[in-house]
Amino acid sequence: MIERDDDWIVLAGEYVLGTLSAADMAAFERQLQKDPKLQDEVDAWEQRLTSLNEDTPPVAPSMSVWRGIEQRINDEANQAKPGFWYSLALWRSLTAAAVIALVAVIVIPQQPALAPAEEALPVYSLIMQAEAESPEWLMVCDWRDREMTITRVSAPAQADKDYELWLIPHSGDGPISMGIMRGKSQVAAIPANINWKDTKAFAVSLEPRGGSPSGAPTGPVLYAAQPPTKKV
Amino acid sequence: MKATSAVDLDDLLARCGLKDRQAFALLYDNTSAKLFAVVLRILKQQSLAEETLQDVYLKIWQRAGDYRSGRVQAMTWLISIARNRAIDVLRSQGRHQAVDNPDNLDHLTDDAPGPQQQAMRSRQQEELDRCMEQLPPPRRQCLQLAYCEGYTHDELSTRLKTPVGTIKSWIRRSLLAVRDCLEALHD
Repeated sequence: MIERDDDWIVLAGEYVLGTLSAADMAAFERQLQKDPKLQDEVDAWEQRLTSLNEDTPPVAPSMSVWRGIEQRINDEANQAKPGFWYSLALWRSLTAAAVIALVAVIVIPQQPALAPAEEALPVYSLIMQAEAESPEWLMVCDWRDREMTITRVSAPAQADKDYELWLIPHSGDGPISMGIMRGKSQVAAIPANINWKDTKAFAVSLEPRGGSPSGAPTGPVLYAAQPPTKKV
Repeated sequence: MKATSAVDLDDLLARCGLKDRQAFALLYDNTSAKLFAVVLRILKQQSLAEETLQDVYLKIWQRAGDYRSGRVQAMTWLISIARNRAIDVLRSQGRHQAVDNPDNLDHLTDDAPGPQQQAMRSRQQEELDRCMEQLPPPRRQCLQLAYCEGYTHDELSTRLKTPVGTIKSWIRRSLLAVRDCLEALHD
């Protein structure tokens, strides 16, 4: 029993020293996950041996190191929430009339903003408007959850027609219907075969009640918007 | 150099855990020269060591919230992140310590500190020194080269002209001897 304890103590010491082979180190780390008491041994060795550093005189790194660290922290922070910041940039340019509708939309990109930083799928919002003055539709495209939320801001209701949303891919296969849009706000799932990089534009056409009978836009295309070409 | 004792590293780390950038800048000011020295001693190249130091502080920033004061001292925790990263870089680059040129390592064999350093020695360091001194010199050197410069078993074997099996057994026995000695001092 004592022999076995010593083995683990020595392994913990070698782990801290850094002399374990890659395989032994991986095995030790697996054990460390399972056995929290082993971490105490590692900590004890870190504390025992740390005085070996005291004879290493401090050396100031060059100034560029700190600038590099700050840059990387900023990049990391921005990468974690590209949609959020992109949306903010857009929102600043919006008229006061649209603000109420936008507040409802802000909720959507916040949840994916908590996703791991390495996930580079974008979340962005787009405004569609026929006249330059006021936004008529606001879309939030969330490629992490593969969902689009489209909100009618000031587009007029149509009595006997339906608005239909289309996704236009770069690949030239023609517009893909994302569904008809009734009511104030709705969510559409992005088809699994569509890649965010392959998305050239979104468009809204006016179709007979119930949507395009042919599967392609038949009525006038009233609005169109292109996704941002690079993440902000 | 600013004295590390002038700031409370525990407090700074706790604030870094809450993503306080000002605390992080202060932590960097107070610890980077020490951590850089540790990394440079292992990697030997200025630019590689500076790049690695950036990784180290990024990790510190990300993991500051995990630090629990009381488990290990803050400086020990910081140094362990720096050493681990430097050793990872050393191994991943397939670089080897300059085993053929013992001249590079003269400072290690002459480890006697100057009078000023002597006066500033912590009790903890004095205890470790006492226990290290009880080891035969080549075994002591094994621990120092591995810990301070990231030597592997094979590199130690070449450097000390001793079979790998012997090196492994020296390290194992030295570690246990040091631990027993430190515990005896505290009894």
